[in-house]
Amino acid sequence: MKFWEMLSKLDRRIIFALVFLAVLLPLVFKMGLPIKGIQPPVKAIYDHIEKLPEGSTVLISITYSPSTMPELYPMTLAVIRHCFRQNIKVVCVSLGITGVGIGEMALQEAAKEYNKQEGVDYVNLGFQTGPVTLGMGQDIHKTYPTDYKGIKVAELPVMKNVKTYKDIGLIVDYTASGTGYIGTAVTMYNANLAVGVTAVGAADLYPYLQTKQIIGLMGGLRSAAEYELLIEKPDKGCIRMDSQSIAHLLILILIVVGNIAYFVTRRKRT
Amino acid sequence: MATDIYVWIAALLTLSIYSFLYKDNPLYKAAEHLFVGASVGYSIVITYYQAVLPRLINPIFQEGDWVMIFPTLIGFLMVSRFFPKYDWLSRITIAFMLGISTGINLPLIIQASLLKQLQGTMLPMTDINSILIVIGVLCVMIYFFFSSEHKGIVNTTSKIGILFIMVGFGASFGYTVMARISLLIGRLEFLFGDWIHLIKY
Repeated sequence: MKFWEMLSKLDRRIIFALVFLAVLLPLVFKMGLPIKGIQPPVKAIYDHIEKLPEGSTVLISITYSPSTMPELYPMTLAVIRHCFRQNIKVVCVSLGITGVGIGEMALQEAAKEYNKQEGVDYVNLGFQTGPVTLGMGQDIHKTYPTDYKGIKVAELPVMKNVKTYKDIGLIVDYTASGTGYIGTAVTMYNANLAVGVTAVGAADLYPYLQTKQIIGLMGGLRSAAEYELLIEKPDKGCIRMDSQSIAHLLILILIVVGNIAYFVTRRKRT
Repeated sequence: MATDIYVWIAALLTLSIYSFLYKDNPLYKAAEHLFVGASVGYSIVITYYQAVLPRLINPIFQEGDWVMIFPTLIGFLMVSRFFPKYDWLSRITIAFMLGISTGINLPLIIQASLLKQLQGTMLPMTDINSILIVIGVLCVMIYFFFSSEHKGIVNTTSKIGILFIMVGFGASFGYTVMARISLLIGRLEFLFGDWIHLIKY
């Protein structure tokens, strides 16, 4: 009985330490746990990009800050890599100020691997204020007069035939919570939208998947790992899944043990 | 160990923030204030070069688009909040912004998040998922129906509604755990990989 009482009064800092070890050790000593099965919403995004003809354009929208990069950056990079592999042009925009640098980092990393040229194969339009998702439906060139380096968008070859959502094969919005594209790009302009979201926000977006307002959904690190497997380029998403799995296992054990301790000590009290 | 000064700064700031797990302390407060200050500074610079310059200053002074002066003046009325005698002028800006955003968003939200979702609930009950969706929506809505006392059939239905809500909370909690662990993974990867080179790729 003392054991269960001790457990029910366990100092939270011991739990912090256990979680810390559960995350750190698999990163140091690689385990290579298998990632089995690809979720249909993730596969749907992959299939959509696969079907896009060469030379079409995908709009990557970065609506997250560095704090959620561990989850969202691997999936951003994976989709950009997929586009470049398929010779699809990438236009990157940021709905938040902090997304500008993140988008640039992902574009440059992928461009180097696939030998793509800035301004011709991809562009980072950066950040703009105001109702951007609405404005892009009317005229992207007016909404973003210059790219993030100050070059006039009208002078960029990659933007020559990209004026509105009609010229874009797929919008992929990476966001820490909800997406602003459903109301505007999808509802008003019938654009194809996929969303990459932190695990916290994934549950809220499933209703839009069911109504087919979004064509696909990547929720959290697991989806990023799955996309990396789909494009056969395992990277940070896959590596991090070891820690994720072990930490989840620990939390499951803690929940079960905590509940047993609660019921045993409650019976004693009554 | 890293030799890059920026990695060291980022690592020490991360540790300062994590020191809050033990208890509140001056190092945490200093890192927090530094973060707020740096964020505001970054925002001002990006907004100026990405929005103000190409969409306001250049159109007015290079392209002669003088119409832009009117929205600029409306925006500048917000400065009147610093002068109590004239702070009522800022209400014009607020009213303008409220009117525009409500006008744009209201019909779009109703269409995208209400009508489409209603349509998505009216399903032919041909498979288990459709049946669960229809029953779930009805039961949860009855749980939130307060104009009738929860007795008899209403009580039973609302209790089934609670079950659906709990399943929803459980899914959200599971996802939240996943998200928080991912963030910790990112930071530990930085501290033990980029900083002290214990994690190797």
